[in-house]
Amino acid sequence: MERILGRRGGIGLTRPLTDQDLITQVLTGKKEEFSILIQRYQQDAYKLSMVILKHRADAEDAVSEAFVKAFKALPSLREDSNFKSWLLTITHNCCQDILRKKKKDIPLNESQVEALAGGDTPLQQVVRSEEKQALWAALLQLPQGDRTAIVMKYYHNASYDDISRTLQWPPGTVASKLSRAREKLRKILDGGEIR
Amino acid sequence: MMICKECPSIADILAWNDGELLDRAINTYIQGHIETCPSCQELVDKINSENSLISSLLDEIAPMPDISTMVLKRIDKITPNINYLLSIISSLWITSISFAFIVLEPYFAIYLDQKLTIPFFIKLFSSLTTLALAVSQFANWLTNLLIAEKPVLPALTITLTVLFVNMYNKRRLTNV
Repeated sequence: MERILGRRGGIGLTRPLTDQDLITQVLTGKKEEFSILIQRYQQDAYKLSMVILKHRADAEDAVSEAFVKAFKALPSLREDSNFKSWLLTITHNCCQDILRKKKKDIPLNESQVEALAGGDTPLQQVVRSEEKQALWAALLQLPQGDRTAIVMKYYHNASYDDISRTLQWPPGTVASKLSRAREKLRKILDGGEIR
Repeated sequence: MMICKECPSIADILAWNDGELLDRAINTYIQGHIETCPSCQELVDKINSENSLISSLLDEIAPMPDISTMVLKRIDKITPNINYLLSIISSLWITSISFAFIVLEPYFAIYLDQKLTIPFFIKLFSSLTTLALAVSQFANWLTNLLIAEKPVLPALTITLTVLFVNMYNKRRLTNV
């Protein structure tokens, strides 16, 4: 935990290093400080990748690729930018690259959906309630942009601006698109088809 | 769920609930409306329960292993850890010193190898030159390691070249 937080100051005067502190240190040559940023955000990036790619190994590849790209592009990150949102955008782009290589979004059968949440562990052990199982399956049936937007907003708490930038949606359309995505989600949960 | 004529659109309610409505007047209107409209209240409750369900769902995805070491190794491969200015200076320094010794050392070696009667100070100078050659090459190589953080091939090549040329010169001069 200490490693993920990063610490600064003398005895009794420690405070967690902010993302900006760490970025400044990395840019001044302390490459190893980047590992704190990796540890801080790799699970967030991984969850987004899992929802987009629906494949554990591909998601892990996308996350490591995203961090390497983020490191290379770090000098171009503005000081007032949010590192996490920026990283999620890079992660989304890396996932798109992987999908392009695979040529398509992979439809999953029920057992694959179950395997996704817990690897070899049956989903029942990981996602406890039936409601969650149904939601998980429904979420993965949504078009890729819709499920990315839902996860970015309701898990990562990204702003509409960040979602618009990441998905290249016109600004001002995020609310209506999110609303439609949720409608589709409800329809799937109710046993209907996606429009 | 019934939505009356005065009800804001679902997208507006969603944006309000997400705290993304920038217009203060619309914000106040929706806030006031939701407080009095049971169907919109029901919608907001449903949205919030779905939000927490989505959030808890993602929380339950098994975490991936720590990739920081692996990523840093990849970064190391693509970003050579070399200070270019210092490397160039160091290489020039090593090259010039090495070649100076290549030129100088055989002249003094002649006296030693041909076992001529030579003044003591020339013998001493010749021995010191040979010793200095070995020490300086080792020091140069270490310096290069320290400055460039990675063994630089040119430094090693120059060191080996100097040693081989030196050996060759000595052998040639001995056979004269």
